[in-house]
Amino acid sequence: MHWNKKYSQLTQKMKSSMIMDLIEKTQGIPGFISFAGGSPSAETFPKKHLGQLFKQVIEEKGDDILQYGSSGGDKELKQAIIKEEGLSVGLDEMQICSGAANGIYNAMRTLIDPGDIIIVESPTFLGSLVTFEAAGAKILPVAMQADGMDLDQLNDLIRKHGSKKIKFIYTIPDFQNPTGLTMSLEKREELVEIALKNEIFILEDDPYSKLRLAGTPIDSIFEIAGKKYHSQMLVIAIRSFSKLLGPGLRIAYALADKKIINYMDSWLQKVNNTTERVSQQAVAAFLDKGLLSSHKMLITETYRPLLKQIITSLQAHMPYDIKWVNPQGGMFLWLELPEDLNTDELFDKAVEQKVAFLPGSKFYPTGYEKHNGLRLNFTFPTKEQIDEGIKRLSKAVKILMSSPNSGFHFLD
Amino acid sequence: MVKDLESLLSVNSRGMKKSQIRELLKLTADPSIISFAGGLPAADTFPVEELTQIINDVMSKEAHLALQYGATEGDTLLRTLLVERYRKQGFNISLENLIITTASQQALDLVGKIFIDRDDKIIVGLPSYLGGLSAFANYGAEMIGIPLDEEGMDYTKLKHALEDLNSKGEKPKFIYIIPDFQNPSGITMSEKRRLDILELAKKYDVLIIEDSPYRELRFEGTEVQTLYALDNTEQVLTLGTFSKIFAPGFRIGWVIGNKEILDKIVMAKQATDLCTPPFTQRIVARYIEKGYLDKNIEKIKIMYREKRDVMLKAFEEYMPPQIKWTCPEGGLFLFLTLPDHLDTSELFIEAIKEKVAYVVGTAFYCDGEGKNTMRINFSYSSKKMNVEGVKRLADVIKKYL
Ligand SMILES: Cc1ncc(COP(=O)(O)O)c(C=O)c1O
Ligand SMILES: Cc1ncc(COP(=O)(O)O)c(C=O)c1O
Repeated sequence: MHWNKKYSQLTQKMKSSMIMDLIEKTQGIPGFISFAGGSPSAETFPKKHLGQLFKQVIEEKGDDILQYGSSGGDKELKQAIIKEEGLSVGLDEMQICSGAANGIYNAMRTLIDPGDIIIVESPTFLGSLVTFEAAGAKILPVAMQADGMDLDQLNDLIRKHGSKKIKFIYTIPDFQNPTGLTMSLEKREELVEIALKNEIFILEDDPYSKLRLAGTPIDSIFEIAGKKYHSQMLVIAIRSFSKLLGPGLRIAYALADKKIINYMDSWLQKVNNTTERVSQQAVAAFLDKGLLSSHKMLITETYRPLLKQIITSLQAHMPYDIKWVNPQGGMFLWLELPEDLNTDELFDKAVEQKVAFLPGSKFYPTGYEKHNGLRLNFTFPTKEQIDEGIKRLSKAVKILMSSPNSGFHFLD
Repeated sequence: MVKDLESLLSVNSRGMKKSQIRELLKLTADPSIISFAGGLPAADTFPVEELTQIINDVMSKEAHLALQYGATEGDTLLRTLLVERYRKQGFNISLENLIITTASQQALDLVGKIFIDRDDKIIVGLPSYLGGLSAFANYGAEMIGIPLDEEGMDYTKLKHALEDLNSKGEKPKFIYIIPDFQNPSGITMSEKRRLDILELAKKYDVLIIEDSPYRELRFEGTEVQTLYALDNTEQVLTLGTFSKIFAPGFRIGWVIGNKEILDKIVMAKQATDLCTPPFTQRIVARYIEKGYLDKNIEKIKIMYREKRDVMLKAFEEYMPPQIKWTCPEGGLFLFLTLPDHLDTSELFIEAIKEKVAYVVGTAFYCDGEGKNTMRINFSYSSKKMNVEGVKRLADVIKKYL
């Protein structure tokens, strides 16, 4: 059978992220150090508490929670989140979803027809790029600056394409994946103004804001829209428990206007009917017991020394031409090499040194790739591995720089 | 302030119809109503004790895997166990032929996504599972409905439909079939019909989507081979789920088929939810490994058989002679056909007043027909309530006759 002719047009164009292939290449090599992952450290999973709570909720309400549930999520979890976070939203302004990825998908389906435009930070989270491209959206990039996306560029794009075709602006304001950068308060406010003025949605993806390791927290875009502009209608916020309790639970939530949530619930219903319920109830119980704040402390105390270590090691070992901005939290740090160096090439050299990272080109929409950046994850390796890994990476960088056509001469 | 929020949404969202089942189910939330409407398993089939024991084990021994991101195609252990299970049932498959989905609803959505462009044609049964129809409608499929007879989808009508399309140079993307204890009709497709349809599918080069959540819940009669196993050309994709043999709240299902197609489904799944929760996957895997699943299925079958028997007996006793119903050999549902002039959506309001609920049959007909039919679930309520509910329903129907 000729399958290819049978696929839908979008499917024929669909491509895999290839990240898995890269990561697989380096697995199982003894002594290998990887900065490539995007997973939280398994040490931070609250397995004892969760184990007890899973047991408890199944024993107490198994009859109910093993059944199909409401597509928008269990109200016990919604109530627990509202209380924990001090949110002033109604139950119908929240959706529980199967991880942020699923919330982003539901929001996107609510807003996007093929050919519609989505504006993204550039670089940005690869998973979302894959999701948006698979829906046939046209993706336009806006450059990242040290204090968040370049709003002049954003305004230019809106002027050029008109606000009707542009459906939403996708942003990861805190400790962005992959750059680790955080959007300033001023930019968040201005972004809300731009959105309101042009009637364009903001999709605020927030898996990392709770992982603040330095500096002071900044209000979310969703909060700012409500407090300062009294209109949250155009903001959809997605918040995930993946980086706090473990991504294997696949529990996240969306906040938005209740009309939007209503549509998102319909999409969720079509896509998977109900978010898995035992985990919903266990997370609700975890929050009700007041366990989250001490657990957050444990995570930040685990990650803080790792962030410090990677910065120290980079300062000690990296050649002068390599630039980065120190992140104040999250899981990632972004290195920028001189423009004419290619981190896809660096990858092979690094693997020879038994160290891996993710080449930056993966984080740009198709057709807008840049090749001189790379992402480092600092939450997975140990402190000792970080120092050794950065040494090796520095060596690989120097080797690349000293190759005949690079124009740099380090090892001569 | 945005004046017209709706105008900013996708055309697809704005065109979305509220699921009628959901709307009607809201009316049945009143606990004094005996509901034959849902597709729910009985809560006393849930293996609570075994589950808590396994959760304990998983959380103390493999939490680092269970709570971490997992592969989009699913937990290898669970996939391996399922493949073994199917090989015992005569499936010639290996690991690459099976992936995990967030239950069958997701599989239906992903199948729709990877095959359907707007206005593509697909073939479905009249009636057919609503969740499937709505997943496909979502991608703009044009549905061609083929009536069922007591052996499943009508062969002659299907043949004509395919010939007709072929003469116009058209080809449907797939045929959607629920061969065992169909939702909603309870009908099982005979082996001969399966073979005939496979042959047609081959002749016209059409894929078959075999959706099979109820297959293992056979209470009587002889098992019929799956379309997948009867076929040996990978013309068929088979969908399975733990929802009816374990627990729907766990949201775990699978797709079996040609590797090349599964690769596409995995890519599409990645853009939907990254992966099915590794936590629940691992629990189910250990549950199967310990042999609990097979034991539980035996228990469920005994319970449901009794419930069905009680229900059928009550029908004989209380229903007026003009009413016809199917006698399923397994599954969760049977289907009632009233005289032509009756409309079950009109009856519904009266039924709710009398505190009994069902699903209006038209929900399952892509052509809007079936006004005089209804779906009845016999698995959820207790035996006593099944009898009482049938009594109430019979009274309502008599009023309209
Ligand atoms: C920016 C961003 N959004 C969403 C996700 C997906 O998170 P979840 O596990 O909640 O689906 C990730 C995961 O790495 C991420 O970095
Ligand atoms: C025929 C059929 N397919 C698929 C499903 C979806 O089940 P789930 O998503 O729980 O696996 C059902 C549920 O009732 C069904 O009857």
